[in-house]
Amino acid sequence: MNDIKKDTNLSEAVNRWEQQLPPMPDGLNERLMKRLQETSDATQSQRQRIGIYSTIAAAACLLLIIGIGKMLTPDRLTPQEEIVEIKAQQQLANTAQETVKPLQQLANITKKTVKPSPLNSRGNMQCTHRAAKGSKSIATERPTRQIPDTLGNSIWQSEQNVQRALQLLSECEATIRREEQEVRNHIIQATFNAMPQPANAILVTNENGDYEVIETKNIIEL
Amino acid sequence: MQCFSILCVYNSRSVNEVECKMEQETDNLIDELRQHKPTACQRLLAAYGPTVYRMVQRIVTCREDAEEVYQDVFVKALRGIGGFNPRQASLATWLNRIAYHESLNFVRCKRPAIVYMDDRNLCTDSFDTPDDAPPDEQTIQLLEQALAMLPPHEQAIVSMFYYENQSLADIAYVTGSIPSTIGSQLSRIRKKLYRIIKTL
Repeated sequence: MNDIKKDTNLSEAVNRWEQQLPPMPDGLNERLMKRLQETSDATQSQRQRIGIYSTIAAAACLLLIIGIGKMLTPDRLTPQEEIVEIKAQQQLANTAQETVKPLQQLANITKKTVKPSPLNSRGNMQCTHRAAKGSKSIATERPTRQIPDTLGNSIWQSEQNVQRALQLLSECEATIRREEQEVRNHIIQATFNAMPQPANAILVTNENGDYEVIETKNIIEL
Repeated sequence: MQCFSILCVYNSRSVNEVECKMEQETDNLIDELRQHKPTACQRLLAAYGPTVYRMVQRIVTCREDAEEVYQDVFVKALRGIGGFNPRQASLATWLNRIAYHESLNFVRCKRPAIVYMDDRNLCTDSFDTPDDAPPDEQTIQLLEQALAMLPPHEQAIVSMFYYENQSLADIAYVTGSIPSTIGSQLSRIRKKLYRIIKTL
């Protein structure tokens, strides 16, 4: 390395060659400063632009999310429709409350008087299940799902709910009427059998299906 | 004798003080550059501009191109001042490194139709190195002509070593190499120059 450094000829040649190079232009640094300022200004404006664009993009995204959320909601009812729906639901609830009270009373009476029906009459669910499990043909047929008798939760099912409720109500009323009649007849029959009756007294059924004790004399009279 | 030794101690102390002051100034300059102060930019250009321009000019011969590359070097340096590590190299060496690579990239992109003297074209005779030869005007002139025939990266290495008296470690940092490679490269370039002057 020292040998290379000692080479005075080469060192002198390099010195002369370097001195031949033109000096730095005077206005170069000023031009460079100008360019740096322009670059920094451009960078600042670019940053501001990026900030504005990102804000706009964020707002657009937010609006899009809200819009999608609104579109995905099950129904869009006007305020008037909502009021009608609420009123209908309230009426239904009131009707149900009014009907439930006498039904409960009647149910209490039936519990006391009528004996529970035997298990066979309720339907042999186990047997059908076994049959379905055992036989191949039945196993392949999938059981169809029945629509439950409960009320639908959704708002748009309210009309159907009302109709269904009214139907159930009428069915309940008919059943209660029939059971009431049976109970009454049972009591009449029991009383007739237990109590000493006149010789001409007989138990008959009138046109409504109710038991009635009448005397044969009266029949003759009639 | 005693006076001489006292003078030496005094001189070394004053040199150390000056060096410390310069280091402190450089550190302050780097801090201010990192804070993007315009005055710091002006100070940087005033202090290191000529050195950087010289480095660029060694590789990029066209004046307009050299000015463009010079500006690019400082724009790049100011952008990357945050990543400058003073423990690796001095600020001047770091700037020279950027200038060296920027200039070479520029020259490579331009692809000039210049054919540099290749080692294969030179005679492979045994070469006696005139290490301790006295300064010879004719040899100097021939070497000067031969320098112009070297590729730009070799010219830059020779100039950094002989003109700027940079250490091999600094040259290696600038070129992205290792000091031993730079040493062997310098030896090879020198032999090449003497071979060229034989053909002239």
